[in-house]
Amino acid sequence: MLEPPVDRVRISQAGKDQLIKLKRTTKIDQWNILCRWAFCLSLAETTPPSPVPIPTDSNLEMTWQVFGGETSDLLIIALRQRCERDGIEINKDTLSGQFRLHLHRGIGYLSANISLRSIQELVSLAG
Amino acid sequence: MIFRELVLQNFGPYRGRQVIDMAPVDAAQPIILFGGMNGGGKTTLMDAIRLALYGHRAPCSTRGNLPYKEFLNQAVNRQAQDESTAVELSLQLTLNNAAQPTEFRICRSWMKDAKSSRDQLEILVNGEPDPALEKGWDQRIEDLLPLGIANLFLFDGEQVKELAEQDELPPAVIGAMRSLLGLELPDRLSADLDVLASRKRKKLSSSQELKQLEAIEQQLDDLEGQRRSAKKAIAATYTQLQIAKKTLSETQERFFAEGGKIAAEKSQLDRQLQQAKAEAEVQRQALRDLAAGSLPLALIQPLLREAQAQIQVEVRYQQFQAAKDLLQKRNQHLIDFVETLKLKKTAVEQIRDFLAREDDDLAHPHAEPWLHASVDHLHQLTQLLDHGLPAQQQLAQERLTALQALEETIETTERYLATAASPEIYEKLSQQVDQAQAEVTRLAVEHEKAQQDYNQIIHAIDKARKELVEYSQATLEYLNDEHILRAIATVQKKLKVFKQRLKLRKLNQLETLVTQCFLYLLHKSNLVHRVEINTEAFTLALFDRAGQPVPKHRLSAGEKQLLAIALLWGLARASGRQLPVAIDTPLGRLDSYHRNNLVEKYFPQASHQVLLLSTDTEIREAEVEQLRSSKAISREYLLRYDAKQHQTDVEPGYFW
Repeated sequence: MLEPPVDRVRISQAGKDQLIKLKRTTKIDQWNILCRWAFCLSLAETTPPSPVPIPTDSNLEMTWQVFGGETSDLLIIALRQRCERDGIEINKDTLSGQFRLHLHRGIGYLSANISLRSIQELVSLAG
Repeated sequence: MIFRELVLQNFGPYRGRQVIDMAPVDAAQPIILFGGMNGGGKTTLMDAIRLALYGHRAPCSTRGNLPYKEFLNQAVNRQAQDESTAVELSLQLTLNNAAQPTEFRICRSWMKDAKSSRDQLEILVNGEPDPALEKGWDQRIEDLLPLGIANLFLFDGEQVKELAEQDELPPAVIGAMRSLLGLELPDRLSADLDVLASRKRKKLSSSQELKQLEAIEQQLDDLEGQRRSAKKAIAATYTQLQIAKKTLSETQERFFAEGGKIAAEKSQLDRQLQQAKAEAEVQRQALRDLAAGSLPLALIQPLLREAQAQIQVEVRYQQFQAAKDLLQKRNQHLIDFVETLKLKKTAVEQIRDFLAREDDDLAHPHAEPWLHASVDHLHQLTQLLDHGLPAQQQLAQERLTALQALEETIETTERYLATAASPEIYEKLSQQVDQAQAEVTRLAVEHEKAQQDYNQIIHAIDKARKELVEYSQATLEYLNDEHILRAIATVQKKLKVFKQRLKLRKLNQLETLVTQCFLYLLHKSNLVHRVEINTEAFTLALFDRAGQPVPKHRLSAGEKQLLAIALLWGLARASGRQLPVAIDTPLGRLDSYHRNNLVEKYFPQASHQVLLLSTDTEIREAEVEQLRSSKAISREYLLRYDAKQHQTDVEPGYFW
């Protein structure tokens, strides 16, 4: 059991709005699943995320276990590996920050993808 | 015809029963000569013959305008108050080419001042009484010797004198001539036809049934017309109905074909669509389920590969650390064992260095570990990368492909359903079927009504026909009568023509015969060559050899009388009838020359039986001798009148 970067995953209001839209298009009604996809999508991007402040101004939050599910350790490993690749010192704060940045960047990517109109397009991303 | 016997009983001057045999001895001796002084009963003899033949119709000389009863009373002999008076005439004639001649005996008898206004008539045929013939005698005698021509066969000198002196022939003579020549027949036929026609017409016009019949026939005609139009109406509505039915069946067919197809397809397509949509949703749900699993990790496979390698490194290091003491102890054992092998010192040193390098490598990793993952993580990751993710990716791809196919199906189906615009067409077809159905219903009602009308008319026709049958007899009579009426009109027309032609023919014949007789009697052929008879007035005109008319006043009185006799003779011959001729005082004013001619040429040839009634100044001794010598006389009678007794007796013999 690896130590998660955050204990509770908190989402910004903008992120929540975008997730609501994604829930509607993909008909996936669980936030955590969409967030997983968003996180992975951002990790897959070669450029590191811009260090922008991300407020936690929505009431949407979940525990890391809920967020990660069965793959939570692998997600931690992936985040660490990514930080290592990006040359970021790995400690609790940086991991937490990077996680939030990646998560929200991924949510942004997903909601900005105009061709993503249903679950197919989402799954197709993993093709 | 031959008069065989005349019986006079208390008739006029003839007292008692006196029988006169008048039959000629043979055909070459036709003359029966009666001698009698004036008032001696010659004319009474003629009257007796006429009376016997014609009864109340007889044109007797003394009758004038007397009623028949008065005449009969007058004819009774003055001395024979209580005895019956009678005339009997026996005559013999050959009927219709019969082998033996038939003898008729006509007996008329009456009492003076009898209550009956008529005489008693008895007819004996070949000696047998014939009551039936008695009733129809007046008609029968018209066949044998018509009253009209009797005057020309039973004539007296007075008539001849009149004929000779008058320019115009008297109507009685003209009538007799017409009758004799058969010209009366068409007239009588025509008159009879007129009577028949008027009777029929009366019957027709007075027939109530007939009027009804005509009404029924009119009604039938009307009904027949109605029937025809009703039939036409039926046919028309039937045709319309058939057309409407055809239209209905066509629209129904179209409705079932197209509408039904659409309906069937629609439900099927809808079902397919629903199914496809459901399947698509299943696929989507499966994709969502996939998405809920580890599939997002596929996005970061390169990163995870890197991490895997790193984990392997880190795990090895950890393992080395954990096995470090054990390895050092083993290395020491190994070095100890190698030293016991008595190897070269350098070889041992080399092994020792090798082991030291190995330990050093293991004790000092190339970099600080950052993942701090466990062997379990390595296994999990390896399992995921090598098996989990590819499988899931493949599964996702399959689901995506299936979903795409489904979506294409759905899109195609939906597009078809959209472009088919089925509800409108279905609605339209359904509406057309409804309309056609309504039209069929309407026309069926119309047709039914027309049929009913027709049946009613047929019923009416049947009824009228039945009525007509009831009047069928009347119809037949009516038609018969109508036919007769039409035929009468035609016959009348033809009769007219026939009459005209007959007249011409007969008169031509008569002209020839009269001319012949006249020239024969006259012996002065240079004066008159030809006699012509006017077809209307029956007047005689004379022409000489040059064809110039000879005025009648140029003829002497004797010549005129001869002309009259020639006319009578010619008429007798023209009639073609074998009838007796009775001549009363014929030679009134003739000179000896003409008298001689008559005696010599006329009397012996006038007929096969010639009753000659003469005074002593007419057939004188010379003439009677002449006739006797030429053997023309069969019998001679003298009518001897007793002035005291006022009665006449008939005796054989003549004055001389």
